[in-house]
Amino acid sequence: MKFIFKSIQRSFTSQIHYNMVIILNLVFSIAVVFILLQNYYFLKEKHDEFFSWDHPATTYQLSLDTDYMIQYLSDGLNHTPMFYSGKEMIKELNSGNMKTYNFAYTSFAYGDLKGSSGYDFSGKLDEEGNITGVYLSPNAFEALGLKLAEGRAFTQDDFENFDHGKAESVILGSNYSGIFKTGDEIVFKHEDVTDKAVIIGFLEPNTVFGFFGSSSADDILIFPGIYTSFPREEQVDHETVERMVYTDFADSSLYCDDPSVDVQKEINRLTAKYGFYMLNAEPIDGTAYSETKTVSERNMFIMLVLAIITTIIATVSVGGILYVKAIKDRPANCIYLSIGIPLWKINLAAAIEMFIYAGVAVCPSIGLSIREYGRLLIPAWQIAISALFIPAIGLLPLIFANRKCNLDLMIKEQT
Amino acid sequence: MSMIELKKINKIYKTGDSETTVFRDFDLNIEEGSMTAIMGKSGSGKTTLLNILAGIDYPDSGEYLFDGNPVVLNKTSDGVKFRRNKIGMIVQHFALINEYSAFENVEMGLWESGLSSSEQKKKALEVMERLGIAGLKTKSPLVLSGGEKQRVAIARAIVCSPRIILADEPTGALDSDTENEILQILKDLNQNGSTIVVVTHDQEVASICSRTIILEKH
Repeated sequence: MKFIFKSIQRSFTSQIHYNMVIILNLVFSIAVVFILLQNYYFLKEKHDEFFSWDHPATTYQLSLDTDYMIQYLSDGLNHTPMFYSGKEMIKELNSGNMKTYNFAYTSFAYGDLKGSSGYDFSGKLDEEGNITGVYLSPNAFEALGLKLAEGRAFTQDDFENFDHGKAESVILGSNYSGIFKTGDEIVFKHEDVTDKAVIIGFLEPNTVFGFFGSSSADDILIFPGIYTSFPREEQVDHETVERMVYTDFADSSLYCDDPSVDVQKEINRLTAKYGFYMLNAEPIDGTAYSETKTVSERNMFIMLVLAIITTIIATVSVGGILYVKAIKDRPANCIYLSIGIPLWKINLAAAIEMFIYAGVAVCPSIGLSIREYGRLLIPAWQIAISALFIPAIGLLPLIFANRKCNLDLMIKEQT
Repeated sequence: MSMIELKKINKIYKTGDSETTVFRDFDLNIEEGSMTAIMGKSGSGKTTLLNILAGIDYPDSGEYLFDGNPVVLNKTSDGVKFRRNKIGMIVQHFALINEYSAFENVEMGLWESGLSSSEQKKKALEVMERLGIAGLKTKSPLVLSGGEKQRVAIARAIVCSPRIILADEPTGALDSDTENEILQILKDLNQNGSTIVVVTHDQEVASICSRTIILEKH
């Protein structure tokens, strides 16, 4: 033990410039590998989260050039010829295998929602103490891949029910199926207006919601919403409804289950036919989904390859420096051998010294990671392997150089 | 019985296709308490013989007996153990480690002895006092004279009480006054019972030895 301590002490002080180069080399290479691995894990975590769900359809987001937006809204308000032309175009667009739709989240504060049976929804509160609801426009149910376990889907009547006295229809997530049955009523207060809703169905268990299925739908309440900005506190007339349907159209999602259809081309054809503003159809799943998935997978692969290449370069570099250091240390090692210190102990001292340097070198990376993320994204055992791999392999040239130590060499190198 | 017996030792160095025979059926006896000089021209095998005696190099064939027991050095660790317990080595250019103090250079001869740290320190200091270098204990070898360095090297060689001291040109790097001092130390060690083998070119060194072996180049 005394030899190992003294040997490390001597090696550190006698070759301090080499040791500093080794430590700096390790600090930077470990930091680069650490960051690459951290990004790999971060990317993998997000990849697994977003790409584990295969969306059945191809979805696009419609958008209008901002230059036309004011005119477009004005058309809706003033019922210009473009408004009527647009209405016809929307009708034709939705008559084929393309469907436009919208959905919007809403939330009910605790106490504003009650079951007619007295159920108070306290077991279904989200992190902010609310119950999540969603308004779906026509077509949205099918476009989002939702399926019913029981009951019926929304009909056109459900979407055109504007009288406050009449109960709305509501479809509930599967977790409510043991609490309510179809035909039960829930009472809800929304924006100071109290309304009733009749339960018409329940979703299948483990249903996910959103473009990428990013949230569970098991606890949500789904209401029909002909448009997303439905002013529920007011009685609305048919003209207002038409205007808002028109207004929402330019910001709709579009669902097309036929992959052979060139959606943008079809939109261009329709806008040209009706003399309507140019609309962009940006894919948000399907093609884009698979392209994004591929890019994500490639990025993960590149991260890993870069981490491996960096490790190899750093290992070769550290190995080279250690070899030069070993040659310079050889006279001392020959002396150790001549007084009966075994070669394995000489190598062990060099290995311990290197692992101490690696331990020091990994600290900045760990410190920065904890500071930035509050946790380690990489498992501790992988940090240990990545930090120890470079010095462990880099030690091989040193061990090779030390094998040549003998008395002959000691005498030659002393003269 | 001889302390060391080499029987029919053969040693050949191969370099590419050429072979250099260093020893062929070489025999050697070294008696306990003797002081033997080994002389010979460069390449005659003096250092190779010293390496074989120290267990650093191995003969290709033949027998090496120490106290009548065969020295079996199948593994590097066998040589290390053998050397640690039985051999003290002195070389021409002192083989001191400059980063250690003179005291640590002496003490390191005991690091693998199994003695406690305090015992190691006590014994190292005793030997330094015996050789008159206790006053140098905190000094770096870099500031010592040639004679002082060789005294430190001798102290390190004898601190573990070896059965035999092997010295390779111990005065080769010293002026004549200092050479005499070192020879006197070796002589005193021999008179106190140490067995010494000295490889030298110097007739004066050989003259203080009880026996001189001259190696011929093949």
